[in-house]
Amino acid sequence: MAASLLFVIPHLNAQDRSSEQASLKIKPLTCIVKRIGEQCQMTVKLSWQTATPQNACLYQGDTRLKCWQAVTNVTEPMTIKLDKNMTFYLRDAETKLLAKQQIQVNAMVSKKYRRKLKSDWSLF
Amino acid sequence: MKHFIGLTLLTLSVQSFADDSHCQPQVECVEVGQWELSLAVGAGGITNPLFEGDDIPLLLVPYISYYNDKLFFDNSTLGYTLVEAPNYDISLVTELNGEKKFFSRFHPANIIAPSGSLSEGGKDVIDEPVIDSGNPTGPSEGLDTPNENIDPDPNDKPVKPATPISFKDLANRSWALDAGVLIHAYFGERHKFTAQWMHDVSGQYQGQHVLVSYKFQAPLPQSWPAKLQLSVGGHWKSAELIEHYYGINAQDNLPDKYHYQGESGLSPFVGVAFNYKINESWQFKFSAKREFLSDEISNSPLVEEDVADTFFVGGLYAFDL
Repeated sequence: MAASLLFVIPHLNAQDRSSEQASLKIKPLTCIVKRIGEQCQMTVKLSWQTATPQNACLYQGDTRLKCWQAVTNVTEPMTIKLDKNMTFYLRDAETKLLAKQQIQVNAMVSKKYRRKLKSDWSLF
Repeated sequence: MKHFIGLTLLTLSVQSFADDSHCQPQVECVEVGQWELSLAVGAGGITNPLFEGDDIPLLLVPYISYYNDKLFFDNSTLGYTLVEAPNYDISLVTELNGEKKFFSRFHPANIIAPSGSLSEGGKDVIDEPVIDSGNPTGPSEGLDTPNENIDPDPNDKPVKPATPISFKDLANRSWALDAGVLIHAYFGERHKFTAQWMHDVSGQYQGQHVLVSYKFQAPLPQSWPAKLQLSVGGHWKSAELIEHYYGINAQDNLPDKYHYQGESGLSPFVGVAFNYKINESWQFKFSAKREFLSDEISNSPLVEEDVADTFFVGGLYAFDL
C-alpha cells in the first residue's frame, strides 16, 4: 500500500505540472498580517510567460483580476488584497488553466479574536 | 461545573474556523478558544424599585467568558453566532431572565433573624393592605375605606393602595430561562445598535421581551487607554411577563380587589460606561444606568419607585489564565 502511494503521488504531481502551459510567478509569496483574519494588502511583482501569444486572464480564486491580449510574457507590479491563503490562476480565453501560484497569509500573532457580543450580566 | 461547561463547549464547538475576523480595535474583542476571567472590585449596586425590596449590592462582580468560533458563553448568556459580518452579527442566545433579581428573598437578615411570619412560598394570606385612594383593579369593587377617601383617577388607571403590597407576602416569583435572537449592527467605529428578542422557554411567565439599544463610543484623546460609551434604549416587556412578576392574581391569595393585571410596557433607559486601562491586569471601571420603568410596571402595587438604577465604580482585575 505504501509502495503504491509512492508511485501515485509523483504521477499526480507530474500530471498536474503537465497541464500548466505557462510559468506564473508572484513575489513575495507570503503576506504578513498582525493577526489571523486581518486583510493583507500588498504590491507584488507579477510575471508570467507562455511559449506562444495568449489571451490570458489572472484570477484570484474565482475572481478575475486582469486580462491581457496576445502576449507571451508579462512583468508588472500589481496590488492584491487577501485575508487568507489564496491561489492565483492564469487561464486562457477558454478559462483553461495555464499556471497557478499560491500566496500565503501568515500572522505575527497566532491568536484569533472575535467580537465580544455581551458586555455584562443579563441580570443587571 | 466549570469544567463541565468547558467540556461541553469544546465538544460542541465548530472546529472549522472561519478565516475572517471582523474584530476592530474600536470594538471589544475576545480571544477565540480562551477562557477569560475578571473580577470587578468596588462599590455599587442596583436599586430595587419594589416595596420592601432590598437594593442589590455590587461589590464583587465576577466576569467569565469563553468564545469559540461560533459558540460563546459570557457570564449568564450562552449563544451561537449564525453570522458575523463586517457590519452586523446575528446570534441565537439563551440566558436567565433578569426580572427575578428584584424579587429575591435572600438577604443576610433572613438567615440571621428569620421572621417566620411567612412560609417559604410566601402564599400565606396576609393582613389586607389599607386602601385609601382606590383599589388596584379599579373603583368598581368594594373598598374597606369610606367613600370620601376615594380619589378617582382621571385616567382610569389602577390606583395604588396607600400601603404598598410587599412581594414578600405574595407567591414566589420564579427564575425564568429565555431564548431568542441577538443582533448587532455597526456603523463606523463609534455606533452600535443592538436588538434582542427573547421569549420564555422555561414555562414560567410564558411571554417575551425585546431590548433595543444604541451605543455611542465617544471620542477621547488617542493617548488615553480609555473608552467612554453612552447608551440609550428601550426594553419592551409583554403583558405575560409583567403579569407574572408585577401582577397580583389568584395565586397570591389576596382578595380580588387587590389584584393587578399586567399589561405590556416599554421601559426606556440611558447609561454611561467608562473604562481606563491602568496596566495589563487592572482597569478603572465606572458605569451607571437608569431605567425608567414603564407605567405598566410602576403602577403595580408592588412597585414603589419609578426607576431602577445601576451604578458601579471600582477596579477590574483580569486574571491571566
